[in-house]
Amino acid sequence: MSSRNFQRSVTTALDVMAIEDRVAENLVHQHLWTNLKSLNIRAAESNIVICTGVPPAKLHPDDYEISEEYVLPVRTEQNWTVHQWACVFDGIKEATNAEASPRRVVMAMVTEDSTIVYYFVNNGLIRPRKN
Amino acid sequence: MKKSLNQLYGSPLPLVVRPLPPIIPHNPLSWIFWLWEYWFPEPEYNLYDGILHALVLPSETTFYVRIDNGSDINSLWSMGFFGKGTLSRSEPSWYTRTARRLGLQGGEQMTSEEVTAARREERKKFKMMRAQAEAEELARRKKLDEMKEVWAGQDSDSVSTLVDEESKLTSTGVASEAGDSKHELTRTLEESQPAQAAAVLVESSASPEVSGNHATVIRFEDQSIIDSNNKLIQQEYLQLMPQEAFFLSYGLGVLRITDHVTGKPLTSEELLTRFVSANPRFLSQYAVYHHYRSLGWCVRSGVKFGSELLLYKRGPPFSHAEFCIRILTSPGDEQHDWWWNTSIGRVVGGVKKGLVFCYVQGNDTENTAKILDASEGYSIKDILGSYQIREVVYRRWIATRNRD
Repeated sequence: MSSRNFQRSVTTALDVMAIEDRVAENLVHQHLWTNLKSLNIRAAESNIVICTGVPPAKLHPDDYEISEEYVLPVRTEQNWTVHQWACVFDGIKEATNAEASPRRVVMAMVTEDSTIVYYFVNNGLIRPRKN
Repeated sequence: MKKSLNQLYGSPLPLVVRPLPPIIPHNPLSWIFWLWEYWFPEPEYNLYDGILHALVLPSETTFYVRIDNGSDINSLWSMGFFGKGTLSRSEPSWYTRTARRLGLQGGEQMTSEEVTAARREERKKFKMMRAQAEAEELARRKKLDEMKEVWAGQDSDSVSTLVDEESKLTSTGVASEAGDSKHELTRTLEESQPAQAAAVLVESSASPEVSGNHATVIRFEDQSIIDSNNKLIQQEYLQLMPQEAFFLSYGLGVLRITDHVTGKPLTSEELLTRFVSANPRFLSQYAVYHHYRSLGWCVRSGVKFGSELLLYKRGPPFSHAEFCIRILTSPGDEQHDWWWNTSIGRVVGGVKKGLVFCYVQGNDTENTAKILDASEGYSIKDILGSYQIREVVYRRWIATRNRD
């Protein structure tokens, strides 16, 4: 597993900032996630950097417990296909030497005005909420 | 409250306009002020005195403008609501929020994020109480039904006792109608306003002695943002999207943008070259941005609602956005089908905003080529002047509900 810690301070980063650094910084300092790491995966014939980290609270009311999440940094201008998402799930499984791919990935869309919108991408169907 | 907002955000744009006395043609004395202003214009009359210094950072293929100076950030935010704090919802408030969270100096004020958090906490509590009341009510109903079944075979006496029992329950208002108890609960909860809760939160955490009540957790991640004097290091800056930056520098002339590599100020043409090279639709998008800004709207990014731009009457502190703008550039974008219209219409309708389809006519490809090919001179004004904008307001109409 190739990973490194995000330890860079923003105020010194006047050079080009990579999209995954943007997302990691946002998760740590705005949303108070901890233990942010980056994970290089191979998906759909390209190298993608994924952020992993632990949120301060459950992300969804149906979650059992707080667990490590996989965050896929993307830009609003990119187009994503189901095939590419499937490759991301496979790529994470491969990179982490896990038995199964994660049940979901959080897609972080970085926009021009620095807003980051987060979406769940679930690996297949999930049971609907009990009411 | 309203008045203080007006005082805080009195200026709709980062410009200072000084009124001159009325000019009376037959009274030469009244000309003096005008001539004086003409010959010796005070700097603030032509240019907003805080000339903004920003850096252009190429991030992947996109450019954005970053502003670090605190007073510049303040001016741009309070006069027209330009930019967004990189670690905040809109106004840069990360420093205040974080200083309070870590029990450091500088966290005395309440931020809008915290007001929202307090309101959400209240709602969560309300929902828990409601769920509890509903569960209790369900249990009571079940018990009553069981009792009814048991007594069904017995004499009329016990049945009347049961009726008594039931009416007693009704009169105390504890059970009976689920709606009643819900109503009751809503009322009591409405009395405890979120604003009050928020105020309490501020009071309790304003003084460091009291804030000790909340356990201050300093994460491993926070260690690198506190300096040796136990002061929080600012991690946030104001980011302008390209349209905003170009409007402020070219449209209003109040922003000086410096290239982060060369450290030299950029001309409007140089800036435009970068923006169009990164985004082939920049000219159309800028035309729309400029269009609504010149009509007096406060224009901000609409990505959270699946649209390009949001229009606020005055700005985020005053009211919610009124319209979502979807920019359609001809010819390709006009071919969206009705499924597409319906889905975006429902999203925007769900947040009680109007949806505006903004059709831009202009040749981005040709103009972009003209700008990138520096050999031929061009005028930005002419290029932007060639764009035409038409708009259509789209609203879902339900025959039974929209009779008035």
